[in-house]
Amino acid sequence: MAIWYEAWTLPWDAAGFKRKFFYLPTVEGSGRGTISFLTTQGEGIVDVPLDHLTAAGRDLTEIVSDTTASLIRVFDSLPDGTVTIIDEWVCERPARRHEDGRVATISGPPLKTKAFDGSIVRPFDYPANPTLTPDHIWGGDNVLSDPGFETPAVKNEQYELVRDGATGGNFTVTVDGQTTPSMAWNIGPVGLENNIEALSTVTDVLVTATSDGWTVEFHNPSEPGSFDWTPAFTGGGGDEEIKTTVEGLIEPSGTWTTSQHADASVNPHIHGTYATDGFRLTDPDSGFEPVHSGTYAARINGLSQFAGIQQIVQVEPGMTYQLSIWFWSSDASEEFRLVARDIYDNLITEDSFTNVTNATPSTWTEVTLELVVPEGIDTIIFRFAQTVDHNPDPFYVDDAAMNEGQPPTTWGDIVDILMGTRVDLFFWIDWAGVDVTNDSGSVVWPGEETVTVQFGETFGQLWDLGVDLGYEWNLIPKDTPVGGWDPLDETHELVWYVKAGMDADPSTAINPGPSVTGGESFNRIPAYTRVYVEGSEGVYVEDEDATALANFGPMEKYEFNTHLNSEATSQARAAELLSYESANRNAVRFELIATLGNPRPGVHFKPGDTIPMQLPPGLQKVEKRVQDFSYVNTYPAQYIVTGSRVLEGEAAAYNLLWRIWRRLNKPQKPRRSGGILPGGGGGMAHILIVSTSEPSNIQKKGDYVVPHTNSGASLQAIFDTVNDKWTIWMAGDFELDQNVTAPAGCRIRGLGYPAPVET
Amino acid sequence: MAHFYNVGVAGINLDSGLGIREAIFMKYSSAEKKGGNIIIPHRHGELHVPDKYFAGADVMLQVYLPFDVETDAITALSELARLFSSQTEVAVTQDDPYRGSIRAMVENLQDPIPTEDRFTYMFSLRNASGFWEDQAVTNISSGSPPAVVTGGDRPIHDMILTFSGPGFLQHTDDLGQVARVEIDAAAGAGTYVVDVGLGTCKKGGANQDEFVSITQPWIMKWQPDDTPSLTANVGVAASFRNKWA
Repeated sequence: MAIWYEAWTLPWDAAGFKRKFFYLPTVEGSGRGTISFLTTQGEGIVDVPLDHLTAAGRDLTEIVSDTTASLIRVFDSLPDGTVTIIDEWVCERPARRHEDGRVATISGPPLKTKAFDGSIVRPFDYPANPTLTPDHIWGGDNVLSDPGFETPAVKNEQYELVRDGATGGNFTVTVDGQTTPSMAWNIGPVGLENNIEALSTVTDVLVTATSDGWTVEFHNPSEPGSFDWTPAFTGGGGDEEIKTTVEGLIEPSGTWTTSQHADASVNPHIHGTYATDGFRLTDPDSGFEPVHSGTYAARINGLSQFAGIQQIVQVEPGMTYQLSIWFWSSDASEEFRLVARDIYDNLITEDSFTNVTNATPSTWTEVTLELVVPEGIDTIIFRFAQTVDHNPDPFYVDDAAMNEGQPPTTWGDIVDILMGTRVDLFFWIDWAGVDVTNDSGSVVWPGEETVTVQFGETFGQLWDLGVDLGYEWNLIPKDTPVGGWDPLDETHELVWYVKAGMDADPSTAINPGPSVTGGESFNRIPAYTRVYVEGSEGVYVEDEDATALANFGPMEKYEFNTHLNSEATSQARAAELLSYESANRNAVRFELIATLGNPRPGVHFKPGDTIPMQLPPGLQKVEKRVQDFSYVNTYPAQYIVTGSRVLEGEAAAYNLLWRIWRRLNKPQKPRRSGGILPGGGGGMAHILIVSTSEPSNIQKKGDYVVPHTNSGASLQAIFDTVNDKWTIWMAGDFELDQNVTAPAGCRIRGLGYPAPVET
Repeated sequence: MAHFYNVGVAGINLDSGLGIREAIFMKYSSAEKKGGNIIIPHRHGELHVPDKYFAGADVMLQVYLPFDVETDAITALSELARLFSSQTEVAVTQDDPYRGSIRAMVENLQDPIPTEDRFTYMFSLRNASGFWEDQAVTNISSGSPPAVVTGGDRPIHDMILTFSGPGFLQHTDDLGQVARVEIDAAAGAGTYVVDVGLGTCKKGGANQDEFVSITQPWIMKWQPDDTPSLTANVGVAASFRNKWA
């Protein structure tokens, strides 16, 4: 019915974990501590009578001094002599009152606080210094732009109507079965445009005059089903014709291109050859073009080896990426390669590619590749191409990904990996029961997590993340073996469980009875009924407790959590927030005194156990998980047991802390890493094109250098890589030897500077 | 004829040393048990807390000063008061007709207290331990377990246990509480002296805490006038002083 104290060396002591005092004299009633569920909070304290130490030939400096610390173990026992450690705290400081030196007060944090709040997660690439990849990422952001090809770029179909010198007569134009009125041979472009737009099958066209006819560019529709004319001219050569100058296409967005050199000046620039419509998106109206997800996939009809699709991506040196793409081909002879190259088309590493055959034709197949970006590389080409040198059937690709970090994995794997990075600190902890598959209760983890753990976080903060996701942990002392512990022995066990997995039903209860000296219970209204959780991607989820919402109305809580990489993980956190709120709405607190034959906290039940709690006057029995208990070393020992995290009496202090936290806690939006998302930060993406007419010092500042004569092809290759969120700056002289089209919406601006004054 | 208590203070016999022929310690004073029973809400009475511990005790010493010569009384009183003037506790002894030759460590809390009789004074003393104890040590020879028989009328809580080697000594009291002192085999051969009162275990004068484990906060505690139920797997000798109210 009483508790006592022992002093030990610290578990990580190089000389081994040993008992220093098998009986530490203490002042009755001075010993206090709190053992909390799923936190590293609490502190232990007790007074030591110094005269007793002196009489025993001992000294306080054996327990704590400038060079010594001790682990204080607090024991309780059953009448049959079964001993239980109910608390462990690290004695880190003594205090002797000036007016009375007879007693020393020793105190310190719980062992789990010292162990985990005093241990840092090192950088992912430790011991690299400076670190290139500080964070441990599982299931990180997909840095590809438009990975699912759901942002199509439209290429307007364009025709040229040639009169062949006609000087009279008339003509009509027919679009998708609708025909204009007869028009004079010399109708102006505006008139022709109006007549075509008057057709029910056309909304918007652009007509311009040529020297011998007109060009008609379709905007809406971008690609008519059929376009024809019926000329009846006189006076010309009679060789009127209609030419298709630009095939209408729905193409992948400008961030995706055919396989090609990143440097537009390299000749040949394009890899492989393509059919006329060899690079476009699937047609949703075709009825037979496969799509893996969403509305579109990319269709590549390559005629020769290395025809494919690629995206140039900004990457972080040192970062690990998980590359993947789905492909579909009906041609069993096809072979493909997923490859990562630098901007000079060299392999990033000797194994930065994977080859695959079409083993299951006409089936969507995923190809994966892990890439670790070397230092010094910040741009790569993500490329998927056919490697056969014959002309196979078209192939399709969809749902490309280039995710930062490691693939998603279970919480157990994350714990195992990160603990394993600090074996230097945690050699005294056994976590073998926590692995990638099972928790410490041999229960399979419910799923995989997508989280980021940052360099500099403590393991205590990491454990908070696990708790935020609904997992449970504890640090448990192992039984001292016969002969004691040897140096480097694992003296404690770290356990992790799935939600409610650590819950035990220890066949005990707290009822009005011989050991209960007081208590209180209450039901409180919710702190919140609706939650918003925002993760690192900027994606947020909403969730709500429908019953509480109906009863109490909307009370909202927002949480920004940089650890959460996916919507699924954010959803798990939102669910846990609501579950936590619901579980703690009914609060119970008991004051107990140790009596023979009646249950005692720490011995008969522990924080995390669910036991029935029943208090008058209503005697409503509730099954509550014990959240914490505190003890005092009186005789008999006294305890306070709570079945809730938030109690009425603490509301004032809680609200004060909440106000302080709210004032100081500003969501830190991390810098987005990885690939460029044009305009993703709210601004615009800019590139500078400099022609070779400019001095070399200006050319060096450009993103691209383009020849100042016959500039058309080079400019078009660049414009094909941008979309409407880009601004293109141009400096120098350019010769447009061909039509050049830029995506609608993008901005083209000239960098002008005064021409030299000629005198 | 009144019983001669043969009272001594700080090693000085009051009769032969100070001429105080009559002195008596009051047998029972204010000894009480610490703590109380438990008040349980919605229950009548109290919940009994068994096995309570005694608090310190007040000890009253009544002395009859010699008065053959008046100055003898003042001299004896002053010298007796001086015997109690110590920075720490002072040993007092007596031969009690029931308890035998016993001793206690006391502290004088105040000046001698006069009574109605000008030659009779009271000394108010505080016995922090709460108990008198035999002047002679009871030694129980080594046994596995030792054949302990206690006397006195107060619990014994400060015995010296001498282990002939690693092993355990276990006591089960009348409440079924098991108190076990065990020295791990890893401690090695040798003689281990466990001072239960101080909570130490030494071999050759060196502390052996690393190898000692206990199962109850009192380490070991024997009831008075009893044959404690002991088990052991090693020879253990015990020495103690019976305790008295």
